Amino acid sequence: MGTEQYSAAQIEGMLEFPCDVQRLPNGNTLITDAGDETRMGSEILEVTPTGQIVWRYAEGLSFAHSAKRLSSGNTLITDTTNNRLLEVAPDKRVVLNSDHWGEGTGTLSDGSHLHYPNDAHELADGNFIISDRNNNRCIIVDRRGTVLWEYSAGIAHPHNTDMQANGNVLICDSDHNRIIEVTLSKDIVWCYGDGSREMLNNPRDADRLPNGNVLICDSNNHRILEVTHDGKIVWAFSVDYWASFYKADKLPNGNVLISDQNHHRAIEVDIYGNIVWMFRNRRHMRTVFPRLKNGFFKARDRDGISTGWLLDNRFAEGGGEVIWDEHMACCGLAYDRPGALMLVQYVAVQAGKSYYLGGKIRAEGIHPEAFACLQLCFLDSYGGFITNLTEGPMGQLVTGTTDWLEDRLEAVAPANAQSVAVRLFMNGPGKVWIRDVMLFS
Amino acid sequence: MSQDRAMLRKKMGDAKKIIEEAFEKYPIADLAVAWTGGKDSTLVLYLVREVCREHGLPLPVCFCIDEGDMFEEIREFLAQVAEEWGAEVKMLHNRDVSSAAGGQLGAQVRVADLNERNRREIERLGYEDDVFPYEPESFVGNHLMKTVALNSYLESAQIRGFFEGIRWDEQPARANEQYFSPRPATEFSPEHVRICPILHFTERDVWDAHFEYSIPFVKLYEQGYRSLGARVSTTSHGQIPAWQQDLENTYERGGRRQDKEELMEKLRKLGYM
Repeated sequence: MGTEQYSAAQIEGMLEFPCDVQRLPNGNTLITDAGDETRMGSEILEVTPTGQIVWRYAEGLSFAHSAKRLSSGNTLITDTTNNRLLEVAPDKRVVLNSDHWGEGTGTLSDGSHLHYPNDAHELADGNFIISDRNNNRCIIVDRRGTVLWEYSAGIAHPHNTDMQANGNVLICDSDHNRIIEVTLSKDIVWCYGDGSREMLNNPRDADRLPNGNVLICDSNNHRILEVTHDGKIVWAFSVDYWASFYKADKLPNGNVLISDQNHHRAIEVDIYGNIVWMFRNRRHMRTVFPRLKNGFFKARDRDGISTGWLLDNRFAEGGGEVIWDEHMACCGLAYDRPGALMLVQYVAVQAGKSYYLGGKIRAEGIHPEAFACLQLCFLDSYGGFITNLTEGPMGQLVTGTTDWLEDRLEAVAPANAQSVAVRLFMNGPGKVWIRDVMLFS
Repeated sequence: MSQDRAMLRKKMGDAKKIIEEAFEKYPIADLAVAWTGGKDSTLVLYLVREVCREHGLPLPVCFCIDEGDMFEEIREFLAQVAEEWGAEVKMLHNRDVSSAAGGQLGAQVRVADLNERNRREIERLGYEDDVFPYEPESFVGNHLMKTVALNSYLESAQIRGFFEGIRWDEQPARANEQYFSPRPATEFSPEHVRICPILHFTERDVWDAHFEYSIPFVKLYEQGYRSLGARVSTTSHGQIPAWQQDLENTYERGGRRQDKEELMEKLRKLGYM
């Protein structure tokens, strides 16, 4: 993770990657921070309207995605890459830990294990409804891990499943770009989204509102939508940057509370789209070098990562490591699962200037469904990525096993760019090596 | 067909307007044509020459970067067309680097053997080793043999603008290029403008123009080469002439568009990316 650099984990309450947001009855806001790019610093924060942190829970969390304040005053947390559900008391005592289910194996009554849970609610009867993302299902379990209900028919990577007041379940079927409402007898009774990315692009939250409309967080279209039961958009809030909104809640005052992941903040917007409240507590802790450092990988930190570089494993789902070939004096990544693994370094840029990235890349046994590449991702003054990965400049995509390939790419720093993440990216099992990486303008 | 022809004529006319605009902004003596001998820059030179003839102007100087691994066919083509069209062609070559390599492709060049300018350029790239192989298509080789050769020429010949044959459809990085692309002065290159009159041409349009207006092209395209670079990195796509290949569904510099699109689709499915 690059220990020679400072990390978000060293500052309590620093908000890196907000996922869940919940406005509490006392007016405070509960924010779930999944942590920084090295998966450090995941924490649950309760902040007052004036931005003071009055409660914090971080013990052992890894890429936590949700926290809900229960009526008992306890907090229900999905500790996502630890694959567990926690309930903690205000004094931080753990009163429930799904690791203890199945006689300490963490298994549920059906023999399965939670895999990348990203949301959990407590139901009126004390049971939990959980989005169990990598098991592609939504489940209702009791407090001992007995699976009482499961919905898995044709859904992929669900997020933020809610039990509606009418007893039906509203599910973000994220990979299929749709929201579905299913009955407990598993009939789909309502759907929004035809699968096209124009209509919804990786939606990750949907809430049925008291007026019958549905508020949808259309993450990769950088917008929040309110749609009627017959699918008409009656309100929208959208931005012109790669916001990657994660969650949106309609508040009793009519405003909408949103987690703006990419700009590292929680915001409250009114119906006209004005930001009326914000919590942002973030400094870019990583060094932004004036020019690329150690692109020839001649220096190495104590933790085995090349000096100046970071292992970005935020989306690596628990896998991935940096590897070295002593003989060739080159560095690389080894990965064993689907997801995204990156070796990254931040370099300062000037808007409007052309940047050239060059280097050598070699693939070793990369799964045919996956690939690796060098890429440049520009960041704005909020420390947010200006474009997503598929829109940004990329070098050659390598897969399988290759010889050393000369690679180069050029890109103009956008008008609002302040720095660039120089990255080696891979998205599946295999190894990739790089050497002689250079960046100049 | 006649509609296609009318569209091509319009595109040719639009390109000429850009060239005329350049002639209004800069004296001919401050301009040059970047001519690689490839189909695109030959079309640009043809258009520049047409505009010059129409306005009774002399042809600006042409330059061609010899990165050290040129096809003999291209050298011959340049000489032949230059004579036919009355063009003056400057060959730009970073001799300091090629001599240090003894003219041998693949030879190891010691950074210390280079002149100060080239050493500074290597420093600028962030190249950290003491030697590098003399390979024109490597990152270092490309920079020294092409960029440095070009910048040195612009500086010494006091060129303020040059025409080049890039197109929007060539690669995604070109999609936002402007017809007049100003380059501010840097420590390493003088201020100049790159003028790109055929940005709006597709690869297909370029071939249509060559045939419609009998513009010469180098024979390598007949042998299946679709895009010409240094010899080592340029491959022929079978024996099918370039203009008969599946231009719309494959990349000019190798690989199928479809493959990349499929990979992008998989990537989008990661959602959070």
